[in-house]
Amino acid sequence: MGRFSKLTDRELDQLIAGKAPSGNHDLTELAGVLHDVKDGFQRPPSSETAARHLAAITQMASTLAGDAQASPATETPANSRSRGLLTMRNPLSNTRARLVVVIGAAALMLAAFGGVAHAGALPTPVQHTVSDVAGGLGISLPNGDDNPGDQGDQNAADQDTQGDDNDQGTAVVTEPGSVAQDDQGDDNSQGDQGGKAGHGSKSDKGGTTDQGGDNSQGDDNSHGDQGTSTGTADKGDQGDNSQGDQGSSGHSGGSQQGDDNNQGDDNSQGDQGGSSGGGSGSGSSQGDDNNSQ
Amino acid sequence: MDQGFAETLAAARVGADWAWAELYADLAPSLLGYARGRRAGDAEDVIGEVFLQVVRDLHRFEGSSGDFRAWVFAITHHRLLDAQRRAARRPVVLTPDPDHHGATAPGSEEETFARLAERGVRAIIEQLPPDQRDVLLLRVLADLTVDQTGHVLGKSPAAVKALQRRGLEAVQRAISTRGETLWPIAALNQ
Repeated sequence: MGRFSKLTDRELDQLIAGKAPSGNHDLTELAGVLHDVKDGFQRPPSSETAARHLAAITQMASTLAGDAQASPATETPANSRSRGLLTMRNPLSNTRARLVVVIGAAALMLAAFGGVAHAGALPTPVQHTVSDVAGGLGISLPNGDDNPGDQGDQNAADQDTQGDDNDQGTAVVTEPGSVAQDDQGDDNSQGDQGGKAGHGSKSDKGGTTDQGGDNSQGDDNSHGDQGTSTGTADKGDQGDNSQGDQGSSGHSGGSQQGDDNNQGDDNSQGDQGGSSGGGSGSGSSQGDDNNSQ
Repeated sequence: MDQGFAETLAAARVGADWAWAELYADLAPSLLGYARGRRAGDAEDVIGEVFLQVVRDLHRFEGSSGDFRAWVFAITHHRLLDAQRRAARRPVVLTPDPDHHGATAPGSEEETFARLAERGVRAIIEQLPPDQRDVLLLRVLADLTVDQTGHVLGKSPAAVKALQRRGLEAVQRAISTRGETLWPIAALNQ
């Protein structure tokens, strides 16, 4: 390997040409073999083959040259180059094709979002916009503002972070042995977040968990469930009337934790959470109403 | 070919027979050698197709005689790859190779020695990995530079140099293994 890497490019060119570089007599035999490669392989075609090839070549060349002379004004190299190639047409150049694409896209969008919009499960601003647009077309869709479930969900969304505090709080206040359920509570709070994005399914799942579970998670989920499924919310709430209260106390517990932590900012956030929880007292009161039901 | 290449090319563009005859005489032997070295079954047919493509696409070419040579070899290389792919899809019918068995080769003594030399060289060339074989054939038969060889094969000059070095090492090893008797012309020249 090192033998040839020591040779310069010029010496290698000389060797390739069939001559051993000066001072490299050990390469004489190799140079002779490379010379034989050229002599052995490089032979002209037979005269018959050459004549046949040349006849075809000159015929084609004269034909192409004649074509070029026949239309010298329009025949540029670029034109003649594209002559032999397949022309690529824009598939959307046709008006009809464009129309089909637009209609297809609209149908696809309708199929994708129509069901969700009809369920009122879109995010509130989107639901509001869709409702307005659909109302202009004479289609009645739930407005995000009119849907108490959305309020509940919003409250639940607001309480998600609080819910975490609540979870922490209720982990102490409520059933002592339900640490795993507290973990489920975290899951529930995630479920509430899911309910925030897609109320219909995920918050219901949270509600289902609430039915099986207890503690303050039920509060958050009860808000979410109010927005979507009153029946399940009732079940959850029936089991968790006091838990609703615990949930509210959980808020305070959460803020107390903040106080205990002496994390001033967190405290203020906790307090704000509490106040927002108070602000979302309508949701809480709804929960209470449902609970009373 | 360098001298008057531009005039020859200009004449070929307008269909001058003499220009095409000159280009064919200059390029056909080395093109045919490259096809033989790659064991193309129908090497002469491939070369005929190559020249027809050169006629069709000549308006696209701009450059020197060296560039033209590299361009034509690049066309040949791709034609050979296509032929190789077509052959791989077809059932293979084995026929005796007269060059290998020496059953038919009437001709002069020089031609006989040339065939013998080719027989030995072919054995060496066939043992090389395809990349090394292509580099050596293009460098030796086509007189292409390292850069032009890289252009034909779609490789960088550094890669071509590495392949060339490994190919030369492999040939050197084969020579030392097989001995001198397989290289009658080389022996006669020394």
